[in-house]
Amino acid sequence: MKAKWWQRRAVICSGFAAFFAVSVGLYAIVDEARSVALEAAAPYVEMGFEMREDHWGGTLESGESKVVQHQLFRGNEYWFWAGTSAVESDVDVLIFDSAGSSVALETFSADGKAGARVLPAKTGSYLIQVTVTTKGGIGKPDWALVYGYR
Amino acid sequence: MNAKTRTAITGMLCLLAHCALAYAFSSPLQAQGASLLPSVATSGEAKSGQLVLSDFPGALVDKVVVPVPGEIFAVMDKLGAPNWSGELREISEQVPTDRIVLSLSFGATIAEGFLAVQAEEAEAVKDLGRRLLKLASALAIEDRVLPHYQSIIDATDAADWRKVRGEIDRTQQTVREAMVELRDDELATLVSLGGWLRGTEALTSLIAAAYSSDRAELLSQPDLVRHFVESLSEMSDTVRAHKDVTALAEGLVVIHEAMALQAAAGGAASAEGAAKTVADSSDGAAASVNAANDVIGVEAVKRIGGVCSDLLERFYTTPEAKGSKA
Repeated sequence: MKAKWWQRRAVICSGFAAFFAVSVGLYAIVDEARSVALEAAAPYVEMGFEMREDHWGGTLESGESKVVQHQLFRGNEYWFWAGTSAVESDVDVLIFDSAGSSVALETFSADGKAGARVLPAKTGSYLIQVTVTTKGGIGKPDWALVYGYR
Repeated sequence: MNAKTRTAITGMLCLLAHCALAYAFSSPLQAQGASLLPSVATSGEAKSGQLVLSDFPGALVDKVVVPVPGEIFAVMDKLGAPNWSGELREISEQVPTDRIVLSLSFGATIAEGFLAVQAEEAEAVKDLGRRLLKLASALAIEDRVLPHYQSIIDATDAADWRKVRGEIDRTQQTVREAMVELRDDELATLVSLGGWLRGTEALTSLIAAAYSSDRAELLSQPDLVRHFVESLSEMSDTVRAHKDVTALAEGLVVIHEAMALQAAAGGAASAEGAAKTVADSSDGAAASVNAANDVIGVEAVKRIGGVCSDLLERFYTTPEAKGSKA
């Protein structure tokens, strides 16, 4: 039986609606990871750190790392905070100078949040590495990285 | 189900579909940038807190973080009390119509805003806020900037300079995101570049006025400049053919050369990077590096500042406006 015009249109529109729902879902999880990262940052903002609006995020394989290259300035103190909505996961933030040496002075990791502090010894390019490992090592957790300076 | 009900349901679904399409084609900047980041397997060394640089090939990071001028100015403040007011420039009343020029100008105005905040000059900050709104209007994104403008004015009236800095940063981020949503990613890069140029021009002026190796070290940004050079080279033919973009590409190569020599002289901390920068740089400018401190000498600082000024004159300042307060 041939479908009526409005039935065909309803099917097409339903497809778009489903696509819309999936898109919103993806956006929401990235945004949720950022919220978790900002939650980790909150106590430090109270201590005088100025948050940058720039942030990074997406999804990764469990145990995979993402790296952001960053220009840091000697004289500033930086905190980098990462978060995931998969709060049972282990999140790690590591900071390396251009020679590959780990330079974080302080780190923490708990409840889907992590942070690392650095006082750059030299002005230059640094690499910020975020790793998220889910419980059981499977799945594609979301992640977000934010930072502040003072 | 009668005809009216069917029409209403169909209309609602169509509206939802349009929203879905609009949303799907306007992914946020960060998510897009992140998806471009190649993944790096964590090596055994990485787990022990030590990464081999070869694990991070040059193409590893597609998006380099561009610091806001306020981040650099914060260090300058710690190194002394610079004359921020003396660095403010007169604001042109003219609004460009060329979107490339508009984007560069918007970025430079953002940097000017950070300068005005450092100087704590309330009227200049408000004037710059109004200027940003005009430029945003010309870019057809006034509605996105208006809430930021109001927050800037309110925070300035309250002399809450930290909040003003944050709001200027948010303004830039909003505009860049809006441009990406409009499929103008290249313009978003030009906003960052315009801001970086104006911030660097002011920085070189202040460093040259009271030179010290600590201050000059703030110009050690060769990777960032390389990122800009690469970004320009990857832009569409139309954008690359723009006379200002061509000039920017050439000017940035000169700036990179001056900055890269410092990194090369710093050797020990970045042997691999140094090898590349030495190979990339001409020998002639080697004299501009202060060999004793491994930092850029005062002549190179002036050279970088001169290039920035020449480029800014193309889209932001006029020679007569230099040294004039906003």
